[in-house]
Amino acid sequence: MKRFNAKRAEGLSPYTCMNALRQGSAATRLSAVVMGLGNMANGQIAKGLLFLAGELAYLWFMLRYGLHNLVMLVTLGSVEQQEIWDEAQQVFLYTKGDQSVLLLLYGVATVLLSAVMIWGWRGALRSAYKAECLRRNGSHVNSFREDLASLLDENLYRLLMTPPMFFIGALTILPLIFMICMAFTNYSRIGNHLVLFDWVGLENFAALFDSGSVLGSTFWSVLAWTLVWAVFATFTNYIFGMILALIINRKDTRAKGFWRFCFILSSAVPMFVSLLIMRTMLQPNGAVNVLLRNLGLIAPDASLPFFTDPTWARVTVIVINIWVGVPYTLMQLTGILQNIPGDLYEAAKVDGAGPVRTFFSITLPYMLYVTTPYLIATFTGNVNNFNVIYLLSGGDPITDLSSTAGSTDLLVTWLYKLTIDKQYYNVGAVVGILTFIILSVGALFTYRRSKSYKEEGGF
Amino acid sequence: MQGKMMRAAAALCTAAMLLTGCSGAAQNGQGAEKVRLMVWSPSEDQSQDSGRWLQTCCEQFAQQHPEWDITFVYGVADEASAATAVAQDPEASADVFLYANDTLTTMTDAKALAKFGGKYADELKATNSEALLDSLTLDGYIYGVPFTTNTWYMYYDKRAFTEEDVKSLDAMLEKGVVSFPFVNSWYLPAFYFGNGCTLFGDGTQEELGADFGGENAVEVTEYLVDLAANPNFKIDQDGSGLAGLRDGSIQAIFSGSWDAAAVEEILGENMGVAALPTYLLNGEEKQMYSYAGSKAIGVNTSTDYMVPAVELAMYLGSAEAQRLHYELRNVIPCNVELNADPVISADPVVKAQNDTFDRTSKLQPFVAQMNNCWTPVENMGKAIRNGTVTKDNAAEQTKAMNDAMNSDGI
Repeated sequence: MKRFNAKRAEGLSPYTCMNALRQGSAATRLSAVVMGLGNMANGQIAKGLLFLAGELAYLWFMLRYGLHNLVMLVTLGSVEQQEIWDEAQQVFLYTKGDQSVLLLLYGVATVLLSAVMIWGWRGALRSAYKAECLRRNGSHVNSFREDLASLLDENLYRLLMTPPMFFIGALTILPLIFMICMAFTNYSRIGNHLVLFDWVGLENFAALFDSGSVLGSTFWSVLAWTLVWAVFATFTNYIFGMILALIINRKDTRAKGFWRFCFILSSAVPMFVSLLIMRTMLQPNGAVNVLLRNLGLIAPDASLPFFTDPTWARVTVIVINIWVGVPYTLMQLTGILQNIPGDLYEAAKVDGAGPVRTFFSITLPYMLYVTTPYLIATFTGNVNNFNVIYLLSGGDPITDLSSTAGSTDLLVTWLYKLTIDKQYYNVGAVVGILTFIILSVGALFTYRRSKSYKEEGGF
Repeated sequence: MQGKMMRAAAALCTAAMLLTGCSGAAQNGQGAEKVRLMVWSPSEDQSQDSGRWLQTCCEQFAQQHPEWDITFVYGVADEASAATAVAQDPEASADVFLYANDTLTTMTDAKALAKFGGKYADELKATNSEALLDSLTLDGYIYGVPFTTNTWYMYYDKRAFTEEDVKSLDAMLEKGVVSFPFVNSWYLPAFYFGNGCTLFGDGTQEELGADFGGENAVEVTEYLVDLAANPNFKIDQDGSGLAGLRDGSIQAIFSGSWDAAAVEEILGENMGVAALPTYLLNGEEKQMYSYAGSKAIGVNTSTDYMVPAVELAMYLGSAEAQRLHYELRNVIPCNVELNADPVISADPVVKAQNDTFDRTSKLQPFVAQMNNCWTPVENMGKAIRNGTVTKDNAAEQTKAMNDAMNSDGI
C-alpha cells in the first residue's frame, strides 16, 4: 500500500484540470470550450492548432455520424428490411433494414472514441494551464520544435506506446466491450433475433444461474468438469514432466541429450495432427480397438469405449494431454533444474541429507518458487484448452440428450457450440464473461499468495 | 428515423435512375451495363478435373446476355455451409449461391434470401414437380431454383441380394451384412417415420412440434437396440461403409448420389440401387422413410444487381445447365422434361433417387425448430451404439429425446 501511494505521489503535477479551471486565465479557461486557445495565447501556436483541429474533427464526426450512432446504441435499431415487388422487372427488390450487430459495434466505437476525446480535452486544458504558468513565472515555454524533439527524449515512451495502444484499442478493447455488450441483449436464434435485437438486462445471467433450467444445469456440470480437467491437466503434466526432468538430470544418467531428444520428439509433430490421429485411432473401430481384438485381449465384437463412456472419455483426454504436454514441461523444468546452485546440494550433502530430503527441501521449493507464475498460466491455458478437447473428443459423449454440452465439453468448447453451432450469441457471451471472471479471480488470488509475488527478487 | 427513410428513398431513386440510364445506354449500343456477380458453389463444380461446370455455365450465360458486361467472382462454399456464411454477413456474401433446402430458414431468418415471383415463379412451376417446389416454398413464396433432389437410398451388391430381398431389411440381414449410418441424424429417423412418428405435422406446422415420443416411438427404439446388436448389422461411420464394401465385409450401404461413382467403381456391374426397404416391427412390415430435400440456387437480398442475379440463378437451374451437371458430375437432374429423357431415365441411380423421392421419403422440414431435432437424434443413435440405451430404459430415453427435440436447450 505504501509503495502504491509513493508511486502516485511521483506523478502528481500541479497542472491539473481543476486548477486550470479555478486559477487559469480567461484564455486557459476558454480552452475547455475551444481547445488549444490557451496554448495559442501563450505562444504555442502549432500545438494549439493541433488541439483545435482534433476538436473540430471530433465535432464533425459526431454531427455527421456519432450522435446517430449513440442514439442507435440505445434502441439497437428497429427498421426492418423492406421488400418491394417490381412489376416491370418481375423481381423482388429489398431495401436495407437496421442490423443491430452493426449498430452495436458503431455505438461502442463511438463511445470509445469519445473517451479518447475526453482524455485529449483534459490534456489540452492541462497543457494550456502549464504554458500559462510557465510564461507567468518567466520560465521557458517549449516551442513546437522542442515539443517534437522531446518525443525522442523524455517523452520517448509516449511516441513508442502510441501505436501499440492504438492497435490494442481497436483490435482488443473494442471487440471485448462489443462482445461483453452482447451478454445483455437477446442476440440469439431463439425468437429470431439474429438481425434485430434488444437490450434485456441481466436476463441471460439469470437463466444461466437458474439451476432448474437445462442451461443452468449444463453450466454447472460443465464448470465442474472444466475445473477438474484444468487441475488434472496442469498437475499431471507438471509432475510427470518433473519426474522425467529429474531422472534425466541425475548425475549418473548417461546420454542426457539423447533422452531429452526422445521425449521432445513428440512435440515435433504439430499438436493438432497428433490429436486428430489419436482421435481416429481410438474410435470404436479404430486402430487401437482392432489391434486389441486381433491380439485377443478383447472379444472380436467388443471395443473399448474411449470416447463413448463419460468416465473413459474424461480419463482418455487427460492421458493424451499428458502425452502432448509433457515435452514442454520437460524443457521448462530442465532449464530450472540446471539453474539451482550446486553449492546448495553440496551443503546439504555435508549436513547428511538424503536424496528425498534434498528434493523436498531444496529442489521442490526452488522449482515451485520459480514456476508458480508458469503453473498459473498453464492452469488458465488448460481451462481454455480448446484444441485438445475439440479435436480429440469434440465434447462427446453426450449423456443428457436435451443438453447442449457433452461430458468432456469445457466452458470454452461449449461456448463454441453455443455460438457457432447454435447461434445463441448472448448466452455465449455470458459464458465467456463468467469464464473470464472465474479465471482472473483464481489467477490473481493464487499469484498474490505465491512466494514469487511476495518476495520479488528473492531466493 | 425520418432521415433513414429519406436516405432509403434517395438510394432507391438513384438505383432506379442508374438502371433506366444504363438500359438506355445499352439500347443505344454504347456499351453494356457493368455487372459484378459473386457466385459460390462447391469446389467440385469449379475444378478442372470435373469439367468446371460453374465457369462454363456462367460464361454461356454472359454470352446470352450481351446487354450486361458481367464480371464473375467465383468463391467456394458447399451447399450445406453456404447458408451459414450468407446468414452471418449477407453483404459480404455471394449474390448467387448453391444451398441445400434444409438451410432455407437460416437465411430467411437473417432476411438474406430473395423470393422468386412473377414470370420466374411461373417458369419454375412449369419445369418442376410440385413436391420439389414445396421443398423450397415458405408461406407461399419460392425461395430458389432447384437443380437436384437430395435424399438417400440403398446401394447393394447384386451377388448377395436378389431384387426381392432388398424390399425387406430383415430379409437382407439374414443373407448378408448391411451397414447403416446409425449415428447420423439425417438417416436414423427413417425408422421412426416408419412407425408413424412425425415432425411438425406435415413438415410445415411448426406449432405441432416433434412427435418422436409416445408408444410407437418407444417400439422403434427397442427395435433399434436389437438391430444394433445384430451381428450382421454394422454402423456406418467415417466412411466405414464404403471401406467395407470395398473389402467385401459389407454387402449393402445407405447413401446418396454423391457416392454413386465410388460404389460403381467398387461393385461394377454388380451394383444395385433401390429405394428404402421395409423393416419388421412386432410382426408388421413398416416402410423406412428418408428425408427428402432439394438443392437449389439462391439469390442474396443484398445484391446490387437483382435482375442479372435472378436471371443467372434461373439459368444455373435450367434444363441445359442440369444436363451438363449430370454429365460432368452425375448430379441427378430434377427438371421434369430432363427426367423424361430416355438416356437419363435409364440410369439406375436416377431411377432409385426418383423412386425414393416419390415413394419412400418425407419432406425434410425446414421450420426453425428443426434445428433442435438433429443433435438429440444423433445422440440417441450414439447412446444405443454405446449400450447406454437398452430395452429397460428405452421408454424413458425416447421421451428424453423427444423433449430435447422440442426444447431450445436453454
